Amino acid sequence: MFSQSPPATADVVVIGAGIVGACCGYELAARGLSVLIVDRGAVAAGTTAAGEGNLLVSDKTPGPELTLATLSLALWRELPDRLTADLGHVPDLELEDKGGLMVARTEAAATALRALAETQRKAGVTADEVAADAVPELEPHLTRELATTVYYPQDQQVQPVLAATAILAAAVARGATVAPDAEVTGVERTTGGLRVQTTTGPVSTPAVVVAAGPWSGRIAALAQGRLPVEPRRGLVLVTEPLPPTVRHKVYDAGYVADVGSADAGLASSAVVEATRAGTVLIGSTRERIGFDDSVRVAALRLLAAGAVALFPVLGAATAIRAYGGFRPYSPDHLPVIGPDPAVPGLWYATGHEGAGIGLAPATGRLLGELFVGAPPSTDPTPFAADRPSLSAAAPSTVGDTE
Amino acid sequence: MIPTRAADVVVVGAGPAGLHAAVQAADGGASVLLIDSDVRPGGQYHRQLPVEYGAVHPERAHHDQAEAAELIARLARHRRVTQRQNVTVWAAEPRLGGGALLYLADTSTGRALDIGVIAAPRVILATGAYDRVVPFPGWDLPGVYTAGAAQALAKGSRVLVGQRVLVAGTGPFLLPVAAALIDAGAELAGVLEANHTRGWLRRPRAMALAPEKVAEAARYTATLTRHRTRVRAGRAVVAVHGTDRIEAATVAKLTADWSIVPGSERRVDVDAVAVGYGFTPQLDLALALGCATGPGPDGAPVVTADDYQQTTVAGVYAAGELTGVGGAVLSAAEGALAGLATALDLGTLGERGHSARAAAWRGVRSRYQRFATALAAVYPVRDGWRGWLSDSTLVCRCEEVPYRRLREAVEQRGATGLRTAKLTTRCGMGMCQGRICGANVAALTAGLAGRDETGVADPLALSTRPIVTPISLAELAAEPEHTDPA
Amino acid sequence: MTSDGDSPRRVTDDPVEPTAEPVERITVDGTAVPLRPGETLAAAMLASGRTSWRRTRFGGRPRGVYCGIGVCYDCLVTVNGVPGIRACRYTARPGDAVTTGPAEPVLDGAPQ
Repeated sequence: MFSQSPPATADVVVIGAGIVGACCGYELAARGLSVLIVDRGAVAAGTTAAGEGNLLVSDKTPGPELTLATLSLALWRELPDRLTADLGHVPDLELEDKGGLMVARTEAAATALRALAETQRKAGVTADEVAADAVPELEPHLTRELATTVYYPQDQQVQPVLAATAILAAAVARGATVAPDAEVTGVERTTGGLRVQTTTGPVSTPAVVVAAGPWSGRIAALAQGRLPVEPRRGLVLVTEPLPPTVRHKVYDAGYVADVGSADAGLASSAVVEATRAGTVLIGSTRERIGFDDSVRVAALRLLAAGAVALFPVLGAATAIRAYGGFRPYSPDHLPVIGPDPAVPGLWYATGHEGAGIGLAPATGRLLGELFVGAPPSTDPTPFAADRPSLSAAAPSTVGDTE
Repeated sequence: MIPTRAADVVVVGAGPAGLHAAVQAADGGASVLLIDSDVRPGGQYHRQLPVEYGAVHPERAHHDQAEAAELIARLARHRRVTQRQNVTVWAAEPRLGGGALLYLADTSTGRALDIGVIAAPRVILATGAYDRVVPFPGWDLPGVYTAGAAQALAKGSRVLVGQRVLVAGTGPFLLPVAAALIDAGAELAGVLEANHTRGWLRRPRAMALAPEKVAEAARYTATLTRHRTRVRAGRAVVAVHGTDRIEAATVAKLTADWSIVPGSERRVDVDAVAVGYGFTPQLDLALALGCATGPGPDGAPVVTADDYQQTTVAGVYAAGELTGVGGAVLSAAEGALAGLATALDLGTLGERGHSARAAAWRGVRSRYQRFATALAAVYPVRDGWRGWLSDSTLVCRCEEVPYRRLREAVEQRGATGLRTAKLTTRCGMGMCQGRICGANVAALTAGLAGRDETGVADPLALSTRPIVTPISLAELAAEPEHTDPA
Repeated sequence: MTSDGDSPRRVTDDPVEPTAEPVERITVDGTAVPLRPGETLAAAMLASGRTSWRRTRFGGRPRGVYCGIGVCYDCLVTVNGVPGIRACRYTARPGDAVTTGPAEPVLDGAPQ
C-alpha cells in the first residue's frame, strides 16, 4: 500500500523510491519479505525523473557493466508481462524496442567505434555496421556526413517515471509498503538490528538497502557506512512535439568516451531520440558541480549544437523545455550492489550514474538473490562494496556542496 | 559575444511595478534599461490602444489612465532610461557578482535578438501575473476565454469575444472585465461570483485600506447598474456545451465550499464566457535565477523579497504580482521601492534621499499588503470546484490530459508530488509549460493525495522553466560563448 | 465576412472614435481578412468571425484565442512561413500570409 504512516517494523527497509529502489523492493517482496520503501519526497521524483530512459548495451564496453546490462535488458523485455500479472492491467511504460544507432563523424571516431563494436560482438552484443547507403533508410533525416554507423537492435527506451511508479505499484501488489515524504534522519544500531529514524516515525528492521541515488553517500554515512558516490549533473533538452523525425536512439560515438570520463568539467555528446508524445529528447551533458541545479545556457547550447549536427532538420524545431538532474557517480563507473561488509545489515544498490534506468531490473534481481542467499544471476564480485577500485579512488576535487 | 553591461539597472516588465521601478531608479541617478514583452508599455493593467488606431478619445476605454500615460511619457523622455518593447527574456542565469545575465528574444517571432545576452548588475523583475481558470467540463472549447483575454481584446483591440457573454469566477477583477465588455457593446448574460460574498465594498476595514480602489469599483458597479446587470454571488459556470465552439453554458448555485447545489443547474445560451479565478504570478525568471519562494496571500508560491524588494539572490529585485498578487497600487509601490533600492545600492542616491523618497511608498505598500490579505480572504478559490470535473475533463489543455489520468496517477501510482504527477500524466509538459494547468494540477494532486495545497511535494515542478519561451535549436546552437566583463 | 466594417465582433459606434478603419488585408489560408492597422493577428482573426484555427495533435480539438496575453500557446499560427507564432502577441501587418493547420511544424529539407 501507499502509506503516509509507515509500519513500525519491516524485514527490510529500502531507502529511495526511484527506479532502483522500486526494483529492489519488488524483488525483495517477491521473495516473501515484508518490505518498506521510504522516500524523503514523492516517488520517482529525483534522479529517475531526470532520466532519459536509456536502456542500452551500445554504450558499454565488455566487462561487468555490459554483463549486467545484458541481463537487465532481458528483464526489461519480460517486465510488461510480469507487471500485468501483478497489477491486473497492462501498464503503459512507453517501453519501445527501437534499437540504437551509434554514429562516428570522423575517421578517428569511426576507427574507435569499429573497434568497440568488434569487442562488443565478441561479448554477445549485436552490433552491425551499416553500409552508408543503407543509413537513410534507417534514419532518413540523419546527416550524411558520417564516417560510419553501427546499429544496436537490443537498445530500448522507456519512460522512467511511468516504469518506476508501475514497478512500485507491483511491489505494493506483492505486499510491500511505500511511504513517501518519510525522510531518513538517522540509522541506529539496536540489539536486534537497526532502527531507521524517519520524519514520520521510527522503523525497526534487521536490514536497510540504500538506493538513494546521488544522495546515497549521505544516507550510508548516517548508518556509519562509507560510500564514495557523488552527484554528476546531467541536462536534457526537449523540443516541441514534432512529426516523426528521429526513429532510433541516435548517439554520437563521443558519448561512450564522455560517460567513461572522470573529468569534472562540462562535457556533452549528442544523444537524440523521439518520445511517443512527439517531443525529441536531446542529451546529455555531464558535469560534476555538486548539487547545483541552475541551468546554464552554455550547456543548452552544447546540446542543441550536437543535435543539429546529427539532424540538421532539427535546427528549425524549437526547444521548449530543459530538465536536469543528478546522477550517482561512482569513481570506477560501476554500481555498488550488495552488503557493506563493514556494517552488518547495511546494503547498497546505487552508483549507476546515467545507466540506472537500464540497470535497475538486474540490480534489483541481484540484490534480491544476494539478500536471501540464492544463487546470483550474475557474478556480484565486481559490484561489491569493498572492491579496491572504490576505496583506492583518488579523492574528488568536487565535493558535496550542501 | 561579450555581453554589454546594458545599464546600471535592468527592469523586466513595463506594468505598474516596472514603470515605477524604472522611473524611481532613474530619478535616483541610475541608468535604466526597461524591457517589456508587449508592443506598448503599460502591462495588463495600463493596457493602451494601438497608436495606429488613431483614437480620438482613448481615455473612454481606459479610465484612470491619465496618470499611467504621464508616467509612460515621462519615461520616454527620461535621459537615463532606455526602453525596449516587444522583447522577451527567454532565459536568465545568475551573474557572478550579482544580478543576472538575460537572454533576449523578439516577442512576436520568438527569434533571438541580435544583442543576444545582456549583463544586468541589478535586475528588477516585474513580470506580473496571468489569469487562473479552474477547469470545468468543456472549458477548452473555443469561446471560453480568460477574463483577462476578454478585457484585453475589448480595451486593447476594440474586439468583442462574443455578443452574449457570461463573466464568471471570483474576485474584484470580474467587475472591470464586465464593465469593459458592456462599454464595448456586449450583452452580458450574467456576472457570477462564486464566493458567497456581497463583495469587499461591504467590508469597511478593506475599504479603509484601499480608498483609491473604492471609487474605481463604484464606477464599474455603476456601469453594470446602468445596464441592469448585477453580480450574482454563489454561482458559477460549471460546464459549457458545443461541438466546435461554445453554444451554451451551465450555470449553477454553489454551496459555501463551491459544490454544485443539486438541481440548481440551468442552461444559458451564450457565445462566449470570460472566466477568472484570480491570478498566477509569473515566477519563471525568478526561479531560473535561484530566488527563494514562499507561500503568498492565497497559499500559492510567490517570490520572497525583503524590505528593499530584494530577493534572496544578490542584485535581483522583484516587484509586483510575482511577490504576491495585490493589484496595481501595491505593484506600483513595490516597483518604486525596488527602483529606489537599486539607486541606493549603486550609490547615486544617498541614505537620506532614499529614506525620504521611500517613506510614502512604504506606507502604501504596507496598507495594500493588508488589503491583498483581506481580499484573499474574501475571494479564495474553494475546494468544491474539483467536483465540477468529469473523468474526461481536460486538466492540461496542451497535452490534453483528462482528469481521470491524473486521478489514477495519484491513486494507483502514488504520484503525490507535482514532479511525479507531471511525469506520469504529461500535465504541464506541453507548449505552455504548465502555466495554465500548474495551479490546478497542484490543487487536484494535493486533494487526491489527501493533503492541503501547501503540503504537496515538489511544489515548483510546474513553475520552473529554464527555457522561458521556446527558442529554435538553430539559434540556440549559434548562441555565442560569452564571458562576463564584470 | 467580405467586408469587416459590419463585423459584429468589432465595437460599433466606438466611443474611443478610432480614425483607422479595418481597410487593410491579410490572408488566412488564402482567404482575405480585414485588418485594422496596429491590431494583433488574434484580434483580426476573431473579428473575421473565426473562433478557432488549430487542432490539437491527440484529440483533434479546436483551439483559438484563450488567454489573449501570450501565456497559453493555444493560438499558434504560421505567419509568412514562420511557424509557432502566437496570434495574440503578433501585431499583424498588411499583406501577412497566415496559415493554420496542424499543431506540429513541418520540418523539411534533405540532410546534407
